[in-house]
Parts: sequence; structure tokens; C-alpha cells
Amino acid sequence: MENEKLTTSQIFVITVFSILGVDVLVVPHNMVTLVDQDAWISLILGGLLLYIGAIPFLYLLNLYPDKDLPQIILQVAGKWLGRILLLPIIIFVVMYAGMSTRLFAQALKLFLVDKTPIWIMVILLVIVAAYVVYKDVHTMGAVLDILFPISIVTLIILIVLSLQNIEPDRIKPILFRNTKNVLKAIIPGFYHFAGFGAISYFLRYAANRKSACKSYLLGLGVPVFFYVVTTVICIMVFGAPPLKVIVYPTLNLSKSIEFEAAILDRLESFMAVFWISLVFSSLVLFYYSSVRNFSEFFSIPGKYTKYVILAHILMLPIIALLPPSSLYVFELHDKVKYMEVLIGFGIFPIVTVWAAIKKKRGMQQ
Amino acid sequence: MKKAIPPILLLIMIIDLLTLTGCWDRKDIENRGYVLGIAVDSYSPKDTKAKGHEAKKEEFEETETAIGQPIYEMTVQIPIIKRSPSLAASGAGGSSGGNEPKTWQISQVGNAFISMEREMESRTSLTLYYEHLQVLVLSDKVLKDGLHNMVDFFLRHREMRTSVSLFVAEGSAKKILEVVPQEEDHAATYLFELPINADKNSRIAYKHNLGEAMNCLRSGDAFILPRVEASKDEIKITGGALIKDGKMAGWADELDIEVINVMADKYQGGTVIGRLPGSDEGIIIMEVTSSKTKVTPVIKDGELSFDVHVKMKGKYAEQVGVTSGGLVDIEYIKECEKEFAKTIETRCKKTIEKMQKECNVDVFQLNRKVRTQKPAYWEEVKDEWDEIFPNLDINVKADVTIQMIGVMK
Amino acid sequence: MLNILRKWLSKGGRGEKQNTEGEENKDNQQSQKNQTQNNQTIYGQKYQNIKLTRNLQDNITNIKNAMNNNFDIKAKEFRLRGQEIYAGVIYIENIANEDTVLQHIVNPLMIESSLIIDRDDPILFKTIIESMVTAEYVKVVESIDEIILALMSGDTFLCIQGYEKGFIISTRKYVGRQVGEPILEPSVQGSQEGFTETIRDNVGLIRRRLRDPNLVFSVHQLGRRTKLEVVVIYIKDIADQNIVNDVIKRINALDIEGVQSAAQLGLHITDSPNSIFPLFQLTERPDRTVRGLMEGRVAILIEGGARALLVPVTLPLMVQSVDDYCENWIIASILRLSRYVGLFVSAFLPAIYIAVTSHHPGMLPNVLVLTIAGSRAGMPFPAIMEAILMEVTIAMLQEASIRLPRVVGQTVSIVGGLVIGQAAVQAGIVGPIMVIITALTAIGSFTIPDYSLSLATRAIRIPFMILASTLGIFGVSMGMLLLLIYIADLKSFGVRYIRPLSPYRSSDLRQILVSSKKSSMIERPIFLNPQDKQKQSEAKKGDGYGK
Repeated sequence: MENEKLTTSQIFVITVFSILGVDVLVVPHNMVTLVDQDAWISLILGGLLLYIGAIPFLYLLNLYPDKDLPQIILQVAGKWLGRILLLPIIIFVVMYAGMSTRLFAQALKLFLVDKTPIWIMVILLVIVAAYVVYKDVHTMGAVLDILFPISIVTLIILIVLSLQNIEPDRIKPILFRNTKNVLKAIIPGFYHFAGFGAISYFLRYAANRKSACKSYLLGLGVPVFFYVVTTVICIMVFGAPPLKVIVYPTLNLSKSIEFEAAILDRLESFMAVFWISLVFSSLVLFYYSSVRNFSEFFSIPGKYTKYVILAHILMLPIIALLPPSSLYVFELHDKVKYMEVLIGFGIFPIVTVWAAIKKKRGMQQ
Repeated sequence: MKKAIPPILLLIMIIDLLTLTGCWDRKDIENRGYVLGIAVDSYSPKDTKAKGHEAKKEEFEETETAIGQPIYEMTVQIPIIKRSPSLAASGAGGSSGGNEPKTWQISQVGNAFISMEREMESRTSLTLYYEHLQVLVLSDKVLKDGLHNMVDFFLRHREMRTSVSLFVAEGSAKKILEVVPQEEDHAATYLFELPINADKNSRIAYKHNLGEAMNCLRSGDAFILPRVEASKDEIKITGGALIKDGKMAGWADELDIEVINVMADKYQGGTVIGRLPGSDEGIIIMEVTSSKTKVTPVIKDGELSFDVHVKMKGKYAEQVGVTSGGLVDIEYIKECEKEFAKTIETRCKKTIEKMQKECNVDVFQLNRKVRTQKPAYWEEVKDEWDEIFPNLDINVKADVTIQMIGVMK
Repeated sequence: MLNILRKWLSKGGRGEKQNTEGEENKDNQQSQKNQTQNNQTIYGQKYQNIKLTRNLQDNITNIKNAMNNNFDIKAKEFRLRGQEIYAGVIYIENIANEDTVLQHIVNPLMIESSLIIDRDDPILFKTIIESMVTAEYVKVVESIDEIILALMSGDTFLCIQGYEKGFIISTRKYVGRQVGEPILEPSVQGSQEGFTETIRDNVGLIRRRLRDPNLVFSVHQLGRRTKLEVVVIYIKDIADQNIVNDVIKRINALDIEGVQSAAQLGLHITDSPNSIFPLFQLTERPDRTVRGLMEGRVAILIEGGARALLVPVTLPLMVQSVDDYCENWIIASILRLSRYVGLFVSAFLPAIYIAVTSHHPGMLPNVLVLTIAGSRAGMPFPAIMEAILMEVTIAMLQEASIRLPRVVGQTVSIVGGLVIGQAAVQAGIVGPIMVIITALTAIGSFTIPDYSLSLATRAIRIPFMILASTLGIFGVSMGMLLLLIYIADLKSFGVRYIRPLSPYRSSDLRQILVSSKKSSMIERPIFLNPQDKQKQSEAKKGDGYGK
């Protein structure tokens, strides 16, 4: 129906999926490399930083309730300056989508399909994502709604089953001569939550704006919770030193679970299947965001949006297949996420302040 | 109404794309060789003595090495699918069972596991597949060179799982896999299932799988791997091999294992023996139902010591050599409890001393306790732990509670 | 009572229809406006030049000629008793009730009429119908179109000498099957009555179960040639008026030769004709129809079709069965869950089997992998070929057992069982595990209450198998995602096919997914946008369950 709107629960789901993506596979490794067994503290602090970034951002979005991010930026900063401000966001979104697809295809290749070339997996993921983006936002919401419980339940199962392997001792000593590293790692802790801005493309479809904002703030907590818990569990199961060499600790975690019930004997392949839904969901959100970005940047009218979508089918695999080897992928992925810091604490505040001033002036006049 | 791309069309497109380009990973289930067990022996070139018709096989087993000399001999065990029991049951296989071997051991000699593995592929029509690998048996000679050197392949390989059980064999590891077991079809499965009785017999070292071993290796902790011995159709777990810094540092006998299990708080069940109170001949035995050990590092005047507190609960299981028909009453049980506690304490002390003085292997992983609970102290001593450990004061205190006395008084 | 019903039918029908032909209405409002001041013809330009005249003979001949003088058109001319007034009746022999015609029209006029009728008196015309004819009078007609349609429906045309108009008198004869048991949707605890081919009986079956004055039957004539009645049924104060208008609009907008069954009609008014999933629910159970109506849905009946069409429908609604409401909610939930499992198994099991065995045997436990490998040792075909072979065989068997007369049906199952179950395995063409998988798949598809839905699972099975054999589990997951997107995008009369699975609303979910738990008995499923959201008051709930 024409008056279809995204419900509050769908906003929640979108929020969770925009952050909880392929990173869940690598967060423990990345963070432990930086801060040893205290990685989880950095993550919690990074989560706080996430809220610090998200609340003003939400304020910005509420200044222009019927516009999405690129439209707001173009409106606030004008045609040319707006485009300059928009550029890093465009690059970030499209690179992030490409890199997480590649990272995930790589993990799949490692754990599921050994000989299948990466490009096949990347292209397939992108095509299916394009299919849902080609439909409307509400179809997207419905699809994510279905995938949400599947992904979350899988994560919870993984965490619960891992509890049998943990040795709580391994997380100690807490904060021993490590405070400096912990503080230093807050920024990486924060950029693992990259993607909190994705909501800006969906909030304008919300049925009930007030409760949607609430559910957004609530939704931000879910990935923080899961990242922290998976990291803690990984540290407790593997210990900090081994984690530094395990590339996909979360997948290894499922590999180390011994479950007696016959059919679930080998969990990791099943898990890999459910990761697909997780990563796919975040890919879809970024795909859509990127399509919106490009449409606004080049002022492409709505009826030609499908060509932007088609162009992405070409563009995303090219970006994804750019890095020659898996090591480069990790590095590039990290660098792209670093842009989130720039955007979250550079561009968003500038635009927010600008917009606030503009509004105020408008009010006075 | 928006006109949608019919998904069927999309599906057909994708399917076309796929079938035209090929099926990369497809391999039907019966065309894979499921490696159930791997044995690794050390190899020195002088071992090869070609004799008679065996000569050809020996030649096959050589891997031409581009760089370096062959140092390992790897043996994989794969089941012969045609002789798997299910087929015989369905009637199509006939009654071929009998004495024919149900497994196939392929050996290969070389200095890198991946090249040995690939060399094996040239000798079998099946694709070797490691996801079902259950046991990895290492010869003690290999271990003396170091675990670091060889475990990398098993950790890096995508099909390997970290739940593979590790065992150490004195002498030839290959022999263990060649056992034709009575109950199971494959020696590897038999071996894998062996530690299942660890809750009955405390002398079975608590299971150490590849993942845990790797964790210990990376953290620099010492650990123990169960040792196995084989006869023609039997395998027995006898003691364990002490691993320190990735190298084998000695053997632990079965009694040591018991203590190591107690100290690691992995004691699942077993028996404790004691002298019959007031007698020189008789013995009493307790069946342990639960055991809890607490190891606390204590720093007093800059000196580190450990308090070990063992709490055991059990059943009064048997008495041997009781002459008078004395009843089992509260007084008696209390004395028995003391007696058992004494035995535990002496046993522990003995093994601890052996580990400290004879082997100098911190197999109890006391260093971890210090590291996690006294991090400041650990920072000071972490480099000289080897010197500190043998002289540590470890006080063992045991508490025994007998909860049941069986059906007789 | 049936008479009242028929009045309902006829009145409703005459009230709101009659512009199905001639023009295509794109705009609903427009069409409704048109209906009131509608002078459009039913049969187009065809009978435009034929007019009723004052001459009785001419009229009868004209009408007969218009209907090609077929043998079954009966016309009778007679004189009113004691008068010089001639009248005539025309009817079609086999669909009109001849007894009624003679007893209640001809007899009173010819023999019992004793009133003096003045030839020039304009009142006369009314008097005939009001005082003399005892059969049920429908209306006065002037246009030949209406007369022909009425005759074709089994009514009788009474025409009086000297008037350019006549009467349509209802004399329809309904010959049809007795109300029998539902064949496709048997139920253990529910009623054992099913719809028949006669719309009048079907309406009665619904009326008897739902004595609500707000139950609305809106009748439409459908088909350029068939002119069958289509009845749109809804409860006025529950159903979403938008959906009702949408349904009526779509039916009126149809310009087709004609449809013979509800399923055909459904295909014509569905949102996406390309969808392999049924976007309307066909049922032969009056109790299910009534339940649907009470949920706020719209039912469509068609003359000659023994099924009701329930719209809108969503996927979870398809998986419900009447028996769900006859059991305790725990039992019912288990039953429903087993149906969901059946649905999943029937669509994906072969694909998952192929993916796991030929790509990821690592997923299987040791013993199982050796068992399967052992059973497949020496098989000539790869798993995918084996699966397709079996799938084709099963499909042929199912088709064969439907086509064959029931007497011979036994043979099919024996031959099929022998061929697949034993010979193929023993000959070593198909592995025993594959037979188990195929059998499980078939059983799974039998648990689905909706026949069209189980056909849909059959349609997606082979594509999924191919995906599985090329890309393994990854391919299957991608296929599932594609399917999910497709389903999520489907709409049935504006309601998303996937609702209420998304967006979440706990009361809907509890009701649809699990079962009618206590609290959910109170509210209607909100996703159908009912006007009256409460089923029963809160107080009643306390009483009903003894607190």
C-alpha cells in the first residue's frame, strides 16, 4: 500500500544490521592485537564514543525529518561545498560495502567453498543485494526483519555453546600496565562500529519518528553488546596471545565447539551459512545508502535510480576485487573504517552545527 | 503496478552462468578419502632398506624434496568405503567383511607436510579430506624436535579442525594406527573414543586437542599430551608426555597424571587408596565422585609460594584385608578420611617434586596463575621462571569427605 | 429462507453491477458513479437495434431470433381469463423451473384471473404482477439485453400485449450436486461439509454459519459470454473497505470471455500473475471461509465453482488448517510447527542434501558420512543427477495418480513404490539415502494444507538443487535469500505476502505463527487492517476461561 511505513521494530533491525556486519568475524582479532586481553574495555569505551557521535547526528536528522543524509548535506552546505562534504561519505560507503563483501567472500572461501573463485561469490552477493535494493525500502525492511532473528539467534547459540570451553582466568589481569593501550585503542574500538550513519537513509520512512529515534539508540547497543561479548568469549577460550594469529576468531570459535548431539557435530559450516544472512543484510543497507549517495551527488532523478543500481553491480565487485591478497584486504578494510572517525567526528559535527545555525537564523527571520 | 523482474528468470540466468563456468568444489561424497587419523614419525634416510617386493612401496613413499632432506614420515588412515558396515547391511556389498582390512594406511616421507600430502594424492584415486580427522599421533622423536615445526600445517589447513585429539607414542606412531581394534572399525576412531573413560580412571590424561595445545604453545605454557601404547588389537593410554616450550621434556607416569589432573582441576573421577586405619596390611579404597582444587599464589616477604587446596568427595568403595568384623561408623569414616587426605597429599608432593626437580616442567601451569593473579610479580620474574619454579614452595592440603559407604555397613 | 437469500442475491446484483462490458473502468470511483446512472448495455451493441414493441408476437419472435431459435427456448402465448388481453411467457426449458412457470404464472393469469382489466387503464400493467402472478417478481424490463440475460439465467419473461415492457419473474432451477465432504481439505475435527457447484447452496452454507446482518454479498456478473454470477462476500464492519473496493474494482475491470472456476478468477485478479506462489487462497470449506471473513478477509464465490476464493492471503495464513482451532493451543502449535517443517523440507531438503554431500561432507558427523559414502559407493550418477531423476519420477507419479481414474489409482502406487523403492536401489541406479530424501520431500509437501503452495515448492526444488550442486551451501543460501526477497515483495491485494512475519507485532505473530493462544483470541490479526479490532471484550475473556 502506498502509505506503508517502516515500523519502529524495523528501524531497530536496520540499526543493528548497519553496524553488525562482517566485523563480528574479525573484531576479537583486531582488538586483541592492539590491547591484549583488555580489548573488551576498549570496545566498551568505543561504544560510548559511538553514542557520543550518534546523538548529535540524530539531532541533525531531526532538523530535516523528510530528508536523508546527502539531501541534508546538500541543503545545508549548498551545491558545491555540500558535494565536497559528501565526497568522503560516498567513498566511505562504497568502499565499506566493497571491502566487507570481499572480506566475507574470503572467509567463505576459507571455511565453506575452497575452490570457488572469489569473484563468483562477490558478484552473486552483489546481484542478490541489488535485487532487494531494486525493490523498495519496505521490501528491504521486510527481508531484514526475517533475517534478523536468524542472525541474532545464531550469534547467541555460538556464544552459549562456547561457554563450555571458557577459562575465565584468561581475561586476567585486567588493566594491568595496559591503560595506555586501552585508551589508544578506543578509536579502533569505535571504528569497528562503523555504519551508524546508515540510519539517515531510512529514518525518513519511519512511521513513528519519536519511537524510531528511541529504537535507533537502543539498536546501537546491540552490536556493542555482541562485539564485547564475542571478544570476551574469544579471549576466554583462546587466550590473548593465540588470538593475535587467528584471522577469523569467531569462525574458529565455532570450529572449536564440540557438541555431542550428532547433527550439530560440526558447527562451523552451519554457522558460516548464517553469517551469510548477517553480512548480506549489512551489504544491502550500504548498497542502498551508496545508491542514494550517488543519485544525490549527480542529481539523478528518481526514475533513473535503477541505472544507479545497475552501475553498482559493476562497481562494487570491482572495488571488492581490487586488493590482490587477503592481507591487503584486512589493511584496506581497516583504513576504510578509519574514515568513519573522520566522518563521524569531522563532517557530521560540521554539518550539524551549520544546520543548527541555519535553522536558528531561519527562525529569527 | 511495478513490473518486477521475474526471479525465476534471474535464477535461470545465475544457473546458466554457473553451469557454464563449472562446479568448482563439487566432489561426490564417495570420492573423498576421509582421513580419520594421522601418525607422524621422524625419519632418517638410513631407515630405508629396500628388501624384496616391498621395495616398490618404499620407493613410492619417498617424496622428492626440492630443498632439504626428508625428516618426517606421515601416515594417514582412510577407511575403505566399500567395506564400511552400512553397505554390508544394505545387502549390496555382500558378505565381504571377514578379515580384510577396513582401513588403508598411506605413508609418505618428506620434510613438509603439504608436499607429503600432495604426494599421497598421486597414490590414491580419492581426494584426501581432513574435516573428519580425529586423532593425530606423534612419535616421541618428532616431539623432541619440537611441536612448533610441524603443527603449523595442521593449524593453517582449512579442513583441519582444532578438536583433533593429540597423542604421543613411544617409538613408532604408525604402529598405533595399524592396530585392528575389536569394537570399532578404525583404529583412529578407537583411539579417539579412549579418553571417554576419564571420569572412571583418573590416570587418563585429560584430553588435549590441537586447539588447546596451540593455545598453550602460543602462551608459552607447558602441558601434557597423553601417551599411548599399542598391542596387536589394543591401545592403552599410559601416562603422558611433558611438553615444555613446544618440545618434549620427559615422560610422566600414570600416577603423575593423576596428580596433574588434580592440580589442573580436571579430575573427573577415579579411586584413592589408603592404609586401613590401625593396620599394616589392609587397604581401603575411595571412589571419588567430585574433586575441586584451588591453587592460590601467595607472596610473602617477596617470596612466592602456592597453596593448593584439594577438596574431594567420594564413596567408601572397598576394603581389603580387614580381619575383624568392625563396623563402618562415623568414627571410623573420619579416620579413613584423614587417611585418604594423607595419601593425596603425599602423592601430590611426590609428583610435584618430580616435576620441579627432575623434569623442571611447570606442567601445572602455575605460571599462568601468577600471570593472571599477581601480574606485578610476574613482570619481575617472567624471564627467570625456569629458575624459580624448581624451588617454589607448594603446600598441598587435602580435604576428603566420604558421603556414602555403599550397601553394607 | 432461501427465497430471502435469493432476493438478497438478485437485489444486490441488480443494484450494483451491469457495467462489466462496454467500457473498462480504470478508476474505481468513476465506476461506482457510473453504476447508479448506468444505461450501458450488457451485451454491447449486439441487440441495440432490437426493441420491444407493442405487438406480443413480434416481441416473442424477436427474442427467440435473438437467441437463435434454439430448441430449448419455450414460449407460450395465452389469454387472460375473461379478457381480451394476450400475454406470453418465454423461458429456457432446462434451467427454468417449468412447474413454477405453469403453476405460478400461467395458471393464475389464464385461469384464476377474475379482475376486470381495462385495456386503456395504465394501472393494469401493475395489477397483473401485483395481484395475479404468485411467482416471485423481479423487475420490469424494457431492454432486450436484460431480458436475454434473465432468460439465460433461468428466469422467465412475461410480456403483455400492448406494452413495450414486460416482467422478469424468477423461476431459476438449481440442479447440482448435494453438499458433500471436502475432498482436498479434509479435516479431523472440523465440519464435513464442502462447497458445491451451486452458488445458492454455497451462500447458504456461509449464511448458516454466520448470522450477522452485516455480512454483505455483493453480486457481479462476470464474463463477456459466460455471464456468471460472482459474489463478493465480506463483513461490513470488519473488512478493510480499501481491500473490498480493490477486489470489486478488479472484478469489474475484467474484460474476459469468462471463467469457469474460482481458481481461474483468482489468476485473473491476482496482483502478480507471474508469481509461483498462490496470492489467493482457495478453499472448499465453508467453515474456513467464515473464519476468513471474521478475520476481515474477503471471500469470492463464483457460480459453478466449488471453491471460495479468500483474499488477501499471506504465507503464514496458507499454512493454517481448520484443525488448528479445534485443539488446545499447545497441540495446535506443534501441529502447525510440523507443517512449517514440512514446508521447509519439501522445498529445500534435496538441495541441502546435495550441497552437504557433494560439497561439505565436513558438516556431517563421522559415522554418518561413512554410512552415506558407503551407500553411494559405485553409484553411476552424481548426487544431482540422482536427485533430478527421482524428482522427475515423483512428479510423474503424482501427476499420474491424479489423472488416473480412482479405480486404477491403486496400480500407480504399487508400480511407483516398486520402481522407486526397490528396483532402482537394487539395480544400483539410485542410492537408498536418496530414496529416503525424496520420500521425505514428498511427505513434507503433503503436510502443506494448500495445494497450490505445495506445487510452488515443487517448482523451486530443481533450481535449488542445481544451485546446491554448483555452489554448495553458499548457493543454497543465496537462493534462499533471493526467494525471501521475492516473497517479501509479493503482495496480495495490497497486503504483503510475508505478513505478519514482518513487521513484527507480537499479537499477530502469536496468533498466526504459534496458534490461538488465550490472549490472542481477543484481537484480530491487525495486518489485515480490520475496522473492528477486538474479537471479544476483555470481560468475556475472563468468563470464558474461568479466569
